[in-house]
Amino acid sequence: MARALSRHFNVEITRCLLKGMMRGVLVATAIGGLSLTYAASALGVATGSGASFPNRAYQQWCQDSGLCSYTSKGSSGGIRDFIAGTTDFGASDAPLTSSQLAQLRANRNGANVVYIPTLIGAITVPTNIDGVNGRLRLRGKTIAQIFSDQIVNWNDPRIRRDNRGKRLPNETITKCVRADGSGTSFAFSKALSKFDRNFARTVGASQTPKWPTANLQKGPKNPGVAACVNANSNSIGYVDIADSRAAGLLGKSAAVGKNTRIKGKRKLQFTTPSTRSTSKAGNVRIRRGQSLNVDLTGAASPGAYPLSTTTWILAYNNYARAGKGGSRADVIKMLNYFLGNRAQRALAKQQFAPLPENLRAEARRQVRTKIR
Amino acid sequence: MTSGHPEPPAAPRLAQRAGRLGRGIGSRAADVLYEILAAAACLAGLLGIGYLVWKTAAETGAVWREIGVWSFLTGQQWIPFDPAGEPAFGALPFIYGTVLTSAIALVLAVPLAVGAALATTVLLPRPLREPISQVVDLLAAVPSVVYGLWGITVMVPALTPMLEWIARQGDRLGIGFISGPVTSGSYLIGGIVLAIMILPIIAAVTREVFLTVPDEQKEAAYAVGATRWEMIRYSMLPWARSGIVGASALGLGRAVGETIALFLLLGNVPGVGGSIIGPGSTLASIIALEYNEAIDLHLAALTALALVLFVLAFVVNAIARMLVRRGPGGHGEAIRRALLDRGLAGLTRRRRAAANPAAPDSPAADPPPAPRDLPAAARARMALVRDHQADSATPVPRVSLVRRIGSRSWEAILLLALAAALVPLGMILFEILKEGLPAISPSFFTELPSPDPFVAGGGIENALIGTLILMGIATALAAPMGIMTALFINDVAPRLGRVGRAVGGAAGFLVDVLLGVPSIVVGVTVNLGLVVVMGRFSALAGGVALAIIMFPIVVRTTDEILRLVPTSLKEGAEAIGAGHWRLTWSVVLPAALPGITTGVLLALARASGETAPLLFTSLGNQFTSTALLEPIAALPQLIFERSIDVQTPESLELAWGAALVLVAIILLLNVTARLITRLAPRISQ
Repeated sequence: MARALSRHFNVEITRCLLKGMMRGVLVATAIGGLSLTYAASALGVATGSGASFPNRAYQQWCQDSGLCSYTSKGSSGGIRDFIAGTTDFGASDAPLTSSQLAQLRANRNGANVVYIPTLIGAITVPTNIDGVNGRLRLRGKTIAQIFSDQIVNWNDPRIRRDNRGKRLPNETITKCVRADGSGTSFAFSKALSKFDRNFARTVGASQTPKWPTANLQKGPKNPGVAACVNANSNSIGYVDIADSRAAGLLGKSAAVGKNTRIKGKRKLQFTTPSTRSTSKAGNVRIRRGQSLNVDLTGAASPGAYPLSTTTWILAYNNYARAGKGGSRADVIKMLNYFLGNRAQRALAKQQFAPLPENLRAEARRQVRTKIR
Repeated sequence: MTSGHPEPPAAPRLAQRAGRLGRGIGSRAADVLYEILAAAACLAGLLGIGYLVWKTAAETGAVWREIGVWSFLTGQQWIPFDPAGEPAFGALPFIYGTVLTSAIALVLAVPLAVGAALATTVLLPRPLREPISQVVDLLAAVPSVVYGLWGITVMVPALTPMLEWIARQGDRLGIGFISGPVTSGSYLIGGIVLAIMILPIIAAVTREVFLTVPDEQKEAAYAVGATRWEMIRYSMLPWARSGIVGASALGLGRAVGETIALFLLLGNVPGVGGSIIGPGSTLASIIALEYNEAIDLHLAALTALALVLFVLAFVVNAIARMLVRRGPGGHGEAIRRALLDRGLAGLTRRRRAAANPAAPDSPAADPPPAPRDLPAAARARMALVRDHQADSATPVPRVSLVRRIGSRSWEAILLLALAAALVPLGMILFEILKEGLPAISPSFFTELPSPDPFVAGGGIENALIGTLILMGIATALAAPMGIMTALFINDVAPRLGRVGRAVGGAAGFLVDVLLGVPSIVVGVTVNLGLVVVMGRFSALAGGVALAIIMFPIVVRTTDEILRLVPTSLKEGAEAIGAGHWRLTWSVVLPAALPGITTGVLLALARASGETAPLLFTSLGNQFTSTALLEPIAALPQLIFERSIDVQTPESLELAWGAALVLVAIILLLNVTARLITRLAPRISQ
């Protein structure tokens, strides 16, 4: 009797449980259905994607201002989304190639791109070598020779001559490069092409340079390259300064050597990456109305870090024509914030440098006049 | 599970329900409406998917025109952009990488999985068998991105010394295949983690097959004096051979489509040949990497790679299914059930045992609801045999020492295999708890992730709400469509004559095909068919992608359950005059509801951990968004982004916390599904 009763209770309890559970599932489904009907509301937030180089700055700016949401994909990814019109703005540290421009015009009804620079940053060249502490001194040409396999061993005399005090091992150099299409790769390979003609011929300046594949390792985005340098001994890579610092690689980043004129004399000068040395690379003449995709790489002026580059927000010159009429105001509001004093001052915290005054003034003017 | 539960008297209740109805015009209209709706749902689902396939296939056109099928498939160069010359697109390095990583994974996983399955079927003490295999089952639900996170933070540093040792041997002996230098990402590391990932599914299916070995066969082995290992060797393994191969092929199907973990662990350098300790790339990983940024011919080539991946996965799955069907006895059934999803297998097994034995669809090969404690039963028989022999005055030959030692050592090896299978899985769970728990606090659920990798704290509000919304959208789309499609295939189509049966059969086949589509391919198709067409990344697109992953699982599980509704029930309802719709609504669906709920929950559990399809569809959002047509954040994507970001302790803490929450959600879904399965047979009907 008692057993039958308890069994009866068991059945009752399980029935209740089961009903409860299935009801829960039904309610969850209903909530799902409701979220389906939740009307799409314009949030006044501009959506953008692209370059990982300025990612840390953009993420911070967007968070602080609440004006935008940024997804780091790599410059080429940002350009692709910009062409497809799936985002409100793109971000890249490389200008569009001719085929990308053609695609843009074809897909976006003839709309064109406006480059708005937002900041300047250094591309650091961190190394991770067994038994070597601190940073190496590497000439721009030497870096180019390493990345084009003209130098494959750490005890190569061309590296040793600038690093007398260091014990460089007889080990093969592992090169860490970007796996994705990248504006950092573009600026880096562009600078190296200026330093070494062989590099320009065999590897070339591009968002996806043709690296020699021996002893090569690829990581996604700037942090992926930093992780690669950290994980592989006897390696070298190229990483934006904010990620380099975050990965603990800033102290191991090479002082880059270039020929400069000091008091009228030609001299080899090694410069370490920093906000200061990056700022010095930003001194360029800007003509009113010119396209702002200026090239800062290879800067030769004294104290300027030669692997500095600027990075751009890509905006349409005519949002209505591009089929994105609703987002123009959001993007302009965001750009005004990016180019404003508060945002530019906040850059130093991430080791980036603010835009020089002439470039910033012209950028602000073009936001007003060129983005229709 | 206790046996002998009371069956509620079904017939009187039915009569009550059905008695209220006449067969008026309303009833007949309802029948027609129901049949039309079911057919429409089925057609809409399949047409929608057909549209996506067409969009995808159309995108690849340029590849076949400008490169040609053969030179694309056999091309060894992959140069998306060449400043000096022409770009080159060859698929061979990626096909090679996919085959190589899958092969490494299979070689490592199959022996361990078979050993573990045998150990949990016959060797372990009985009370441990079910719980341990359940745990292994649940681990099959841990999402790929969590394996990836674990792989790069724990496995890569842990395995590097071993790889360095292998590389030294390779260099010394001059074997290029295993020579250095060791890189952080490599085929071998990817293959090892992949093996850990596919091990649970292979073990689960193999165990299901071992459970179908007829008792007579095992007892016969014992009866002739076989030791336990000899019984396994001569009774179980030959019986299960094709099932094991089928299970491996099934694991291979999973391995081929695996994306995120390999993306994180391979090093991403395409190449044919070369060292397995060096970096590589696979079809899925190159798509995950480059699809986001490709335009023009590059985009066409990547879409074509997705097509190649789809075909590869389809062929592997078709072979798996064929092998499984050819198996002896109840194999086909056992694996077909396990193929669907593990949680449901228990339900169908139990239900079939209890179901009307005259049910026309239950094949004769159905395994009998046998006692599982075979060694005990066999021991009793052996005792009988021994008694008999004692009677006839012929002494039982003793098992020789050599055989005993051999047998024992084999058993030890099997138990070691189980341990080897459990250790990495235990490590993952331990790591998730150890690293994830410290992150959890109330503010973890109400704050946004910090953009600064040096700032501790921050939370996952946007990603958590995003994931819940995506799950809601996916369920709202996939559950009704899937259930209606299953009703159409199972219930409506057979009544519509030859055409109906043909359409139903075709739909069933397409659903089977969908079941094996790698999730990254789903991401590509939804990107081309929805995101680009709508001109925006959106929560809706992400939800559709997840719904496409859920849809075939819902259809298959519902179909399976519908077949189990006892014919007597249906006949009873029809006998008292219930129309088609009334029969379905009042009799079939209530009886099948627990099973259907289980199926939906399992499908949802599978979909909610997916990362790959979201990368191209929902994009991500820095803020909490509830808008349907805006980009939206998701937990798997947050974990993925932190995995490829600079790994400061603060940044990783958030990733592990998110992984803990995600795994908790998925396990909760799985456990709820299983509980419903457990409780259901007592009270349904």
